[in-house]
Amino acid sequence: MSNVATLKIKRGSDAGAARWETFGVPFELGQSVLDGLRWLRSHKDPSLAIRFSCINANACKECMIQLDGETVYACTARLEPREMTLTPLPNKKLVRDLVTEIAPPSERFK
Amino acid sequence: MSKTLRTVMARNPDIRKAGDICIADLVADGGEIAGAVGWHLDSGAPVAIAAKATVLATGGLTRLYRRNSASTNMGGDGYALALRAGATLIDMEFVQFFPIGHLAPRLVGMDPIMWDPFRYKLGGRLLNGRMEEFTSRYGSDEDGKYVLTRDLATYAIFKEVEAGRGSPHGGAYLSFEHCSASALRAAFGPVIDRLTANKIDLTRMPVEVAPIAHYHMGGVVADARMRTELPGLFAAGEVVGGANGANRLSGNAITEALVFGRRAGTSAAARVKQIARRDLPPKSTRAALDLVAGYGAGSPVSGNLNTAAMIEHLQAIMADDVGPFRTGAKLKRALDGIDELTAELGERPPGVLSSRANGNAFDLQRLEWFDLRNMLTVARAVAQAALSRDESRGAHQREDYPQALPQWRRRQRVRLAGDALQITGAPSAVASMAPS
Repeated sequence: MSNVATLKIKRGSDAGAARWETFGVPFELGQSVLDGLRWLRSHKDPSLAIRFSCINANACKECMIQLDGETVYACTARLEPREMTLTPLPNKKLVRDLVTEIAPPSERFK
Repeated sequence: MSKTLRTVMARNPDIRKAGDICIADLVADGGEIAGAVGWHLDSGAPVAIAAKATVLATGGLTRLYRRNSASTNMGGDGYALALRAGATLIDMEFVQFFPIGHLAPRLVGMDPIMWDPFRYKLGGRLLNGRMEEFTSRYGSDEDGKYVLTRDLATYAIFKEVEAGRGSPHGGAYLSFEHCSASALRAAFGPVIDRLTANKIDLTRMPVEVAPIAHYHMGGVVADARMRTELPGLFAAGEVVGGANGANRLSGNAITEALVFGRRAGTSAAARVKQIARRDLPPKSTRAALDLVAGYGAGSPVSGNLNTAAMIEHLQAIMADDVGPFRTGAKLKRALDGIDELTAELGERPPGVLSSRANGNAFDLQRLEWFDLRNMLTVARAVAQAALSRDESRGAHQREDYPQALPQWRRRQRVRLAGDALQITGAPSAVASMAPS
């Protein structure tokens, strides 16, 4: 079965000057939002920034974003055949696109 | 374990942590390692670090393969850093595959190697695409006792897929349908609920599994105190080569991480006490910083390089032609593909660092350019060493040379000579040079 999710993504590195971009992403039922974002990067736009490491195991906790205003891990949230709005975490400093500064202060480079 | 380590480190005020730094190159000074150069991923700022001692703890190379059990940072960075700094790699042809990595249906939130203990406990049955048992064709029955070795399971699944009898996604079925719901609950516990959330009901359906790249036996040459050949450079964990021979026994990787980690730390600390001061040599540090910033003599590449697609292309080459079952023809084809990708990548990253504030904040294309630079070097080392070893041994199986040969009871070493990889140790004692 083939489906398309419409990902509406808030982009940019300046919180005051964000832009919205919308992409259609094909997927198989059961795939994650991170699967869709990785497909997007290799097929449409490699400049899209998303922080992730373990991809699948829900172990690294790096892919935290908001989906339709709710905080989720992109690697466990499911793609659905509808418009899905993806935004960076609102309470963290924006780095770029869906990436925010999430490391504890003692582990940051200063 | 990582929690314990974090807690202990947090209590020590002398330990300074700096996250999101990507190291592009080690800096050598008269044959000793004097530190490293990279950039801060979040801001894009170049970074140079002087160090009396440096420990490589980058893990292995399993990200080189399409299906793997690794996180995205396992692209062989430590091997490439060590090679370019002048160190030697050993046993690079030996990549271990885990036979029953999860393949389908899509299973999120769980480790892809999760099925092993359950197959062991419950006698999960391996079936081909026609729902037939098949491991007996390869010398081991599915008798519920789980006596099939990992390598034989990998071989049997590959051969069924090759013969057109694979499962729909190109692997085999793993079935627990002979188990009752209560037996499954007793063995899997809360995992059953997570499977249900993934719409997987093991009493009514099999899952699909396939061999996935899991561990690399090869790596950087280090002595028993975890000192590499380069003074000032130490190594720990999977990045170290040679401790596991041609294959690894289950359970040894975690032991290796702990023992080698402690030894490397002790050795590095001892060296730091002996050295009064360590500065970075200006000339080679400047050259490394120039590359990070995108300056320098090398050919520039198009800013439209799709680095994410290039990584997938390399993973396909490695999975198809440098997997667990190899032939000379496939390995040569892989080396040609690696050459093409290397030419496409060019000699410096796309564009130059922007002077605009946050102009290069979390620039994944830049990161992937440096990842590919390392991945391509390491992929070439694996393929060339595999091509040179014309026999079969452990995790390196040549279908055109199926026997283990006594003259090959020896190790191959890889070094960088100019831009070419030099492999030594073959029984003919003739060094093979890379095609330029």
